[in-house]
Amino acid sequence: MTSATILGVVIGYLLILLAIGFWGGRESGDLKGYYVAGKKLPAWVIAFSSNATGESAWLLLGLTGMGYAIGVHAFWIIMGEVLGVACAWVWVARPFKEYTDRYDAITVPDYLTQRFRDTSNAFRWISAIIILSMVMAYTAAQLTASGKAFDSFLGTGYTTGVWIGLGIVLFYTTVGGFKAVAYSDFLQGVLMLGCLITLPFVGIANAGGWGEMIANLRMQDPALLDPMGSYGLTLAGVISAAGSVAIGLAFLGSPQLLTRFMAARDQKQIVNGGFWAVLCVIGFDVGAVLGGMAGRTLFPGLLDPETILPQMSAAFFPAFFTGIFLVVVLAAIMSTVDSLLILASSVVVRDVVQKALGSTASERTLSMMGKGVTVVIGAVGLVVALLEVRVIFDFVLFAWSGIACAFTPVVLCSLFWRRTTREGAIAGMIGGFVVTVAWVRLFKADFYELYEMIPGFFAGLIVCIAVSLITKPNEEAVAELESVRKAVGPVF
Amino acid sequence: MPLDAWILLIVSIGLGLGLEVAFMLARRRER
Repeated sequence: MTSATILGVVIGYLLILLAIGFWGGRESGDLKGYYVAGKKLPAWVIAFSSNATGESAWLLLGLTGMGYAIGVHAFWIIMGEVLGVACAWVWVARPFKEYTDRYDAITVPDYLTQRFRDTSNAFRWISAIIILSMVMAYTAAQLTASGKAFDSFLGTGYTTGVWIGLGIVLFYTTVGGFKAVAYSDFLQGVLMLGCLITLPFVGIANAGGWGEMIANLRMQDPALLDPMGSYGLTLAGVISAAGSVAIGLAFLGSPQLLTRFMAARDQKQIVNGGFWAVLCVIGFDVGAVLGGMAGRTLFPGLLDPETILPQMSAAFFPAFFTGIFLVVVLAAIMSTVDSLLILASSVVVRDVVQKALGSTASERTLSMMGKGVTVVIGAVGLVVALLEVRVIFDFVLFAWSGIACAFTPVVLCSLFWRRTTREGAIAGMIGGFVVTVAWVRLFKADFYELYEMIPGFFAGLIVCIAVSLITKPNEEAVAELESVRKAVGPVF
Repeated sequence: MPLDAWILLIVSIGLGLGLEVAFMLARRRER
């Protein structure tokens, strides 16, 4: 009976996604429609959609697990993410939207190519390599989470869970395009927010109230209530806190998030959407960390802290709500996978096939090709997920930082520093990405596990600035930056 | 919860939220 109720909720949710896929299909007949929903999205959709995409299953399983494992030390992650989202909407979104509207750009490499007057298609090829490799890793990690979620809630078995998760996402992504992705992300974001606001209230009430929870945590381990965690005020503690804050850097320039700004109807949507995006990420992160801390008092000694959310939902909620919690985990997974698949597909079809290789195929043919590429990339992610089950969230954080370090420093320089040159931007992309990968492979273990976002981001930034200083910027591009600044106006 | 943990939580939320609210107010004044 319990399983039947949970199954009913899950099937209901999946049917809604399929309906959104059909509904979005009307917009997906050309590339602009398929990849940026015709640039017609309202504020509330881009706000929730960007946060749902940015967070993934890491929020529900990983961050609740961190609240469980390290207590208030996880507040540093809240700082990083809230600041990252706020800075992105306040500083990055409006000039980026202005530029991409002028260029009629529909991908980030599209923007970079035109911003730097690049005729060699270097940005398109480099972006394709970086995005495809990272999207495979990221998608495989999310599909692994899908397999684990279906199996732990419904006992479907891991492999079946992976297949179901991918099958649904592929359907609505290929049929409905970015419009279906954005609106389903909105629905998924609302579900995630509802779940993460409810979870700590129920958890803290069951733990006997706020005071009881804090006393219990202090008794288990006083370090759970120390902002510097078990490290104390040491170099390792500072590095750990800085790494947590650095997670937010990715919000400033990752292509899967910038696409939302490009797809907004106009500048007004961006001004209005920022406040909702910040409130949403606060609800997400505070709920996840406090929920995990409450879970620690209720279920001490879990071998895998990342299972605390399913444990709490099964223990304290009726079957219907357990079904809702499974739906929310699936929502977090799907809202990320759909955006990554469509991002990778856009780079292949728009940047490589249409622009770099100069295909003269019609928009409709290219749009169909985009759908085919989406399926192929999903299939590769599926194979990786089936062959190699590994710790989900280390993989996610690596892919998250790989994409972010390649793009964020260059995007920031391109928007705010008139002296940025084409050569500097290309070197910055390569430098940021290579240092991220090298750091994980060669240095991380010897440097207090410093999160790769920090060396990767600063390497990208330094290389971009250094190479730009020894090369000459395009005069027309410099004048254009001034004109964009004037059009957008001052921030405050 | 210890005072330093409260301060960290409030600063974590307040920095980003304050920035966004200041931005919104500036836009409204402009209109």
